[in-house]
Amino acid sequence: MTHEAAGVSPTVATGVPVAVKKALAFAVIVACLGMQTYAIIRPSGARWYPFLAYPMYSVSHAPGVTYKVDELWARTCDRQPRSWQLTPPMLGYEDEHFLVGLNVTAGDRPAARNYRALLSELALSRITPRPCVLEVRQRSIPTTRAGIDIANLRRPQRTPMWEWRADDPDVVQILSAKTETVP
Amino acid sequence: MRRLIATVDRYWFTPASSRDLALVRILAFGSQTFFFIVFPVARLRSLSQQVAQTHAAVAPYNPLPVLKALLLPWGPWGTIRPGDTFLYATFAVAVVAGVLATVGLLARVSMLCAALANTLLVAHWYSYGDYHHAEALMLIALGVLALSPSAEVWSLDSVLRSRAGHPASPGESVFARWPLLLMQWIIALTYLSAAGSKLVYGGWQWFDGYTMTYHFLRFALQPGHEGAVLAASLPPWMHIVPSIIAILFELTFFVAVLVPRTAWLYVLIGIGFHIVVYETMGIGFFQTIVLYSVFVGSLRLYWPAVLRPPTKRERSSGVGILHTSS
Repeated sequence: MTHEAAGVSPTVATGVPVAVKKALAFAVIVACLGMQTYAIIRPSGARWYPFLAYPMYSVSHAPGVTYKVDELWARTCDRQPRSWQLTPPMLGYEDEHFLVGLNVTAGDRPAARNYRALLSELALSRITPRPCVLEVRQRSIPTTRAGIDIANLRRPQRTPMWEWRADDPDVVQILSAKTETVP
Repeated sequence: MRRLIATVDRYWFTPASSRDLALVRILAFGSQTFFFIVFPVARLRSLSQQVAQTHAAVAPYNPLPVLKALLLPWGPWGTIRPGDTFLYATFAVAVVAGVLATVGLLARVSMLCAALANTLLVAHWYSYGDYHHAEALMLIALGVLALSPSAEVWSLDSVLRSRAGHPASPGESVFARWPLLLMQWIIALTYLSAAGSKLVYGGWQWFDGYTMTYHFLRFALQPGHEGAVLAASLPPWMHIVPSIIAILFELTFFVAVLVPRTAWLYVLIGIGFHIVVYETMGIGFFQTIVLYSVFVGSLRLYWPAVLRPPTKRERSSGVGILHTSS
């Protein structure tokens, strides 16, 4: 059977033999399917990027689970202290995941200290007015059999967790677990 | 052994439409160049953001292996960090080569350059500690298309070839099937991974409705997402059926590959699935929606007549679409 009869385009029929091209294409197929399968069976983050496992959102949550999220707040230390929430874009990051590690910033580990120092540096260089204290507050929303309380979304409940002086990230002050409502 | 080779040959290299492959090339390179390179996951991640990332000491530079590999021509493994000039040049290559690949001019080279430049940009973006999944399938697809004869037809190269007196492509090629089939399998594997992870890590509790409420809530806390607020405010039991449907869809997506007659159903459900997930959870997988085009062969053959818009001829003759099934 000629290549034309087999439906092979002329550019394929000329040059490299079709069998060799098929062998090369099959090598690509095996490599791609093999890497994708391996990345799924032995997940190792982005090591084989763009071949990835897809375990996102696979953790389950029990009935009555409370959603908790840590937020970074800045506070001034003048006569009338002002406080406001810092978002990743304010710190030069557009990725919302930048602040997901806040829950470890109270720790003594070097990584926690470095993260506090980094946040302080970013806040002091980018935020106006210049904050003197950075504070982690926790927002929590319980789920119930009836769903969530919309009012809790509109008037968030936040618990101050800990804070540190922006110019001295070595000292962390644990705050009382009082809950305040911020409009 | 011969039988096995014949089976493999028949499965991957049966002559197929070059137009289907060309259509996927146009959609994949076109969308990547004109949309996703600027707005991946529907959020602006412009070049300036990437350049800012190279300067700021906001997170440790931890290059992905694929980035290290792509930067090998410029220095030893893992030692090179792209500067702003390098990123500007790569972005320019991605755009110019992407446009050329879309229109099919100098297609072999331009597709390869576009695929590599896009991979480099995305890998660089994800070399600062955080990575996402939405771009991964598209990058694989760009690479696979670059290695395939996807510009044999519907390309400026083919126009120039025919003007130069070369015979036109017959419209079918033994190499037109494997790229699309390969991407179908890779998409099916990713869905299988998603479903398997939910079953393994989440267990049966994943279906209790509270898990979905939790994920809706995460997105509802960000301002302006009323869809997520509404979904989170519903009683969790109302999320049980959608949870089951989501898992069933992911778990059985490979059926769309094995039984081409079902592909249209999976593609329609998949498009709806990803749009609803984006609206309620903020998880954008628009690249995957574009890549459903790899099912174009199955869709063309088995798309239900009742869902097909009437042709010009049918409209002018007044024949209803319900009577046009072949």
